[in-house]
Amino acid sequence: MSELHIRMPREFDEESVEVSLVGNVYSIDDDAKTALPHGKRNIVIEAGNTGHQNTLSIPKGRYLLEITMPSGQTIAQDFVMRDGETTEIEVEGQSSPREWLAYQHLAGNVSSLEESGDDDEGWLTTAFARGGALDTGPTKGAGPKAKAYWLLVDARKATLESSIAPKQLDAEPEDLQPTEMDPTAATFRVSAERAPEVWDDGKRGFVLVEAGKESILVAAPLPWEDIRSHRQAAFEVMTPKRSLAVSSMVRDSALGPMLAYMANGSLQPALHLAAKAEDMLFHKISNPLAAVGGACILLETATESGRKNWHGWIENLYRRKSHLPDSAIVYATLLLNHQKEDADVDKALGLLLEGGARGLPYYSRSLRLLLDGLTAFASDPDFKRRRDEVTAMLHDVERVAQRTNFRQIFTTIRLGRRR
Amino acid sequence: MDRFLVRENAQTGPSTHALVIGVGKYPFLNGGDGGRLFQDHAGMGQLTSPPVSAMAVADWLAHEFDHPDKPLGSISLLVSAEDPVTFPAADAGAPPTEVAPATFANVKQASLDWKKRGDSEPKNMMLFFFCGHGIADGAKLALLTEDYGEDDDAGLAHAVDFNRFHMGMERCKGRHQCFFVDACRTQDDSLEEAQGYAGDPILTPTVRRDREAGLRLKPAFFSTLEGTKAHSQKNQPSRFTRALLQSFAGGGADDLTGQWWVDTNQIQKSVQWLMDRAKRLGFTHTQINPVDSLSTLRLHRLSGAPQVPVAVSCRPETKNAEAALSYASTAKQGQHDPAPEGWDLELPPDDYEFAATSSGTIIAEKQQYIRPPHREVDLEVEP
Repeated sequence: MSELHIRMPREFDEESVEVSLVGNVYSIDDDAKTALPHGKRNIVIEAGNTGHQNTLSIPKGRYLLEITMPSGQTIAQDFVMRDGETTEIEVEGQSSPREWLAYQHLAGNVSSLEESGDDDEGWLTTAFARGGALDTGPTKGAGPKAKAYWLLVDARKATLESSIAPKQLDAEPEDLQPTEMDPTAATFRVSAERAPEVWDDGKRGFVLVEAGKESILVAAPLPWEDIRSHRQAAFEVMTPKRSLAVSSMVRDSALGPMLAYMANGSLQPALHLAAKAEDMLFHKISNPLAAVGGACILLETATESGRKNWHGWIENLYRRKSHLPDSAIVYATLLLNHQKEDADVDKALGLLLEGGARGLPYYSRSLRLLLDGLTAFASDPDFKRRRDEVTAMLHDVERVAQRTNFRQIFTTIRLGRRR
Repeated sequence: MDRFLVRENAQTGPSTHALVIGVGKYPFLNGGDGGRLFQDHAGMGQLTSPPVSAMAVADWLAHEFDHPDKPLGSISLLVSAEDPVTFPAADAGAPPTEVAPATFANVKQASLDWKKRGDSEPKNMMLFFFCGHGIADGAKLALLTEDYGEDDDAGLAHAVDFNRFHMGMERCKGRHQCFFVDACRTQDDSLEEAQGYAGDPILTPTVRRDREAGLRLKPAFFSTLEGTKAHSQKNQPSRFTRALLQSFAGGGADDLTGQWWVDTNQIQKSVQWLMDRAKRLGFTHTQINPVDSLSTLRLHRLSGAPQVPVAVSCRPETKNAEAALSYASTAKQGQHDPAPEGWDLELPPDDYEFAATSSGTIIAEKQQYIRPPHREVDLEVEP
């Protein structure tokens, strides 16, 4: 065996950032295919600005390293391992168009500098599309200047109904100043200082972005503890200036990529990162919202209906963090997908109704699970229990869902007249 | 054989059943021959790409699809085009099969028949492909059949509520299901006004209660994001369908168990890259293809080596216009004339030597291994 050292530098606008990415090593020549017929799959690569060196033991031979970025882009590089020698490779990825957009770029919310070409606004085309703007390309002529506000509200008032009429949230809006000034986009960041101190104090936060007569409400997943550094991560919202669209991302180096993999349909890397963080996510539940994200990944990647260890984790997440709408919804989905007894169906319905009653889910994924679950109960001619409650809640959920940008990780709702 | 089937292979065990729909002819939309224009037409008109896309997918299924555990059981095909369409018969010399138009009544009956075929065996694989107009309202998506807009007072009577249809497939005993929707998802006032109604779901959504039935795997691939358009070129397979077929040919393959299989995870990686590359073909808009409920499903076993999409370019790109490209490996070799936009190739996995030559002199060369989902080869030219 020889040692492979991999470095993957990435620019960030703060010091000492390492993000967890997932890649594969494929065998190319006969030596490599003999020693590692199927290469090495799902290796975790730390990329960032610390100079971190990832070390792997690999037999001699020629190989291909392929890293899947959370945006869906893949980066590939050939390398040769020689007997008894250390091989060093540096992997170059595409660059963020602006240093302060590194997390947005990582999530695939903005195009890379290389893809943008000579067009000053080319990097925004992805932001327009993913952010839910009406057009996928920049429109000519400056739009109204976006303003952003932080709303810290009584969680009991953040109902499904009030989330599409935020005046009912009864919050005093606090101005958010753009973190970075750019002629084409504004970035607003909410730090931990503004967030509720603990989960159980009955508060939750939203970011409201307004441009002209239109506005977008984003469920802020705060507080959010980075389970690796134990620092409180900031939540970031970006909006292009020419059209109202919002892309958001939590600035978490360990689990931010996991969520972005999930949002962009790369579920195997997402599953691998969730499994790697299993202890902090599901046993200690040091970050319950991240645990909900992990639970969504486990539910979606399941291919068999048999009993699994992680079923208990989702139940535990609900029992310990039942005030989160999302924890009840993912537990309901678990019971429906992996039923053990007839009573699970009624229990799942109760959990869906409970989750919906707890207010707007933090994740758009959870909102979708709530919508699908209630739709199934409301439509099923053979299941009529609690029909009035189901119909009433489905009505509220549908109204929210029609305004929701499901391509954003965290629930993002367009307010005002839908277009 | 029922009237929507263009292939039917008797199978004793689990099999694959496909429903393929392409709608280009819309008599009640702009340019249609229905004698009147639907009042809520929203600017929509006739399409030339969906019939070509649907025929290409059906042709691939009939001639290329291979799944040793779930061989092809049937293909139902419905196509609405300007002129009637036929599909070649399986037996050489036999007359081609007339393809039924994708009216709502036909789509409904074909969908119900397809679902019933899926009921025959829990391990059946169900493939659904739709290409045509789509309208959306948030997460709701209505797929428009040929007779959409026949009645001004009930436009959505000839539309399929895709989300509920997808949920309704919970009823099907065949638990491996994969959906491909190649349609615009632009916001439409008529859906907003319908207050939650997005057409006929055909299959009623239901709560899963059969604990003996396996978990339903149900990935749904969409050609474009909510609120945005899907793009195509006239009389050509759409940007998405083209990328999908290329992915079936190799970009979507992996050899995790030693054999090359196309699976849903790799397809997602491959299709987006290919759609981005389509900018070379004149598609200027960004088109991002999302997937819902993505779970790993093996869709197709390759009989030979995958054809891997490869993009080769000189750096700087200006050199592409004056350089000829050559490549060689033990598997394949070839040469190409200068191409200002670079070279898009499809190559089997192997170790290749690429070289750019100008006026008889090699100006850049590189050794690079090619394997799915795709590779980009940059040939650095010394200044």
